[in-house]
Amino acid sequence: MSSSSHVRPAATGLRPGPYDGRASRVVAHFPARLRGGLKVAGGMADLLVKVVHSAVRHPRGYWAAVADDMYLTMRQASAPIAAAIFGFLIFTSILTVQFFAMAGATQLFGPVLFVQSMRTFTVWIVSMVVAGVIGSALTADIGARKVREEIDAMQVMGVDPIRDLAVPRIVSLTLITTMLAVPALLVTMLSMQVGADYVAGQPSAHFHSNLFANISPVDVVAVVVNCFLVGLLVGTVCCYKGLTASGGSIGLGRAVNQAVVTSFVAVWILQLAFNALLLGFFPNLGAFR
Amino acid sequence: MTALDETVPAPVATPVPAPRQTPTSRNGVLDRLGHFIEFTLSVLRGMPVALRLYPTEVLRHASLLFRENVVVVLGMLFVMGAVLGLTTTFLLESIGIDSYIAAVSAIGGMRGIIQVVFGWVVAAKVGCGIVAELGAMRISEEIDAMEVMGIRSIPYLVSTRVLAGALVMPLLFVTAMSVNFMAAYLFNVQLLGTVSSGGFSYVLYLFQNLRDFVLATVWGTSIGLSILLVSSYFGYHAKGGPVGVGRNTAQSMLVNLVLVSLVGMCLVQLFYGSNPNAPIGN
Repeated sequence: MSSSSHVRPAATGLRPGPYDGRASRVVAHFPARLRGGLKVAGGMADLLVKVVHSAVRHPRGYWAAVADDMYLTMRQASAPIAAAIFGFLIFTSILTVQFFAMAGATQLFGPVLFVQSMRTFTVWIVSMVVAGVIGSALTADIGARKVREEIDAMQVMGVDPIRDLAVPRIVSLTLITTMLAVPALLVTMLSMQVGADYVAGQPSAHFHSNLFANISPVDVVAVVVNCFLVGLLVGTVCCYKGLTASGGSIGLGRAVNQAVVTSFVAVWILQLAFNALLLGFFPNLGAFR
Repeated sequence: MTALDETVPAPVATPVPAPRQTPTSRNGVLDRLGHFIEFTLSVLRGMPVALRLYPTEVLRHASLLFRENVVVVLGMLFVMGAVLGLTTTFLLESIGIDSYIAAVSAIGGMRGIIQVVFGWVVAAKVGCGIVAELGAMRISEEIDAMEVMGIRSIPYLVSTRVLAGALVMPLLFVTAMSVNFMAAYLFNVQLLGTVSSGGFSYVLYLFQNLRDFVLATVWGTSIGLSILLVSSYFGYHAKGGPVGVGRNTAQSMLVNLVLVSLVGMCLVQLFYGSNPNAPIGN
């Protein structure tokens, strides 16, 4: 037994560890507070890459779990989602239609507010509800497994928790959010029409003919794409927070709290970026015909 | 021994009222609503007690409430103002009324959208935090220990938080509103150059007056306080281990989101349904 056997393999340069790369060494120079945020962001990106890789490379075997998860989620969340969208948009409609009626431009109300809603309000409320209702329940579910050491037990038994827990849930959340886009737009239209009829006395035929004359397919596709991105973002953030929960009940509660706050902040930054890009690429989207 | 056993009558059980069950999700919505209202009333009854016995706790919670949440709340309202400014610029330019861009902030923002977005952020940041905190205390039986030691748990834990909210929420809301206007100003005037600086502030202040400001502040504060009450309810009545805390946190978020929307729907009817309070058209 010579002294050379006590040298760790990494130090001999034979086998670098997983975090011996140049990027990791650069991160080590960052101040501690920034490093924490970078670590979280890196972990989320890592999880997203792993999930997408697993879902795309092996696209069979998780769809039954996805369908179950979607069914459960929709049964719990569809009524609150519809109530939240309807309540929010009906007061926006009432406020706005008052002013359009005063300016004598009631026929512009439908298209203007609907186009605005497509870009902002409807997507906001869908993403808030998805993050707040579905995402927080997802973090609570996965975090509870983590805190009860079920995930460690899965790893010991050779079951990949990312494949078994994260992939179906993230896929289902993304699909639900994407498929929520068009029904949310329909609820938007219904609540606006109720507002227009109730406050300004606009017949529903006028409302709908003005509306459909001014909506372009690009607008609708943009909403669907936006919702898809929101779903992927919220799913990844909430799954990451659940998988890294620790510290008993207070830790789990804090993980859910952080998941909701992080996904809210991320969603709003995404909204700013998405709208800036969309309106930059298609500057005459809202042009009236 | 047996003779003695026969002579002594079996002790008659004194009728002890069964402890009140906290409603679970299996009970109806009305049961839970009634339970929540009962809880709210006991919190309100505990307010004088909290002021008399635990005034320092009120101030501590007020400072925590502000320091822990101010960055996230103001940041989100800033981004919201930016998104609204960006999208409405393109919309109003296309129908040729882009000189009235500030009216979007003064009417749409101040009469509901800022309040609702403020409610979402407060529900996510403050509300979920309170559920996690109180739920963990309930699960680790700290609340029961508190009762045993003679500390009144509802005034000490909940009423103090609500009083702190009543102190902080109006100030936080007004600050958030001005940050939101600032973001709209930055995006419309400095970045996109839609209107001049003077034109922006002229229209912004033309379309609002003191009544709007007072109503907006009342609205924002009452949304903040109801979120505090709802999340304290879900935290205080958590059960079932860490899983229960997680589930209650998620559920409080659901209730808060729907509540914010529905409260907005009712308040806008009450405040502006019959009176648009506008400088045009009348």
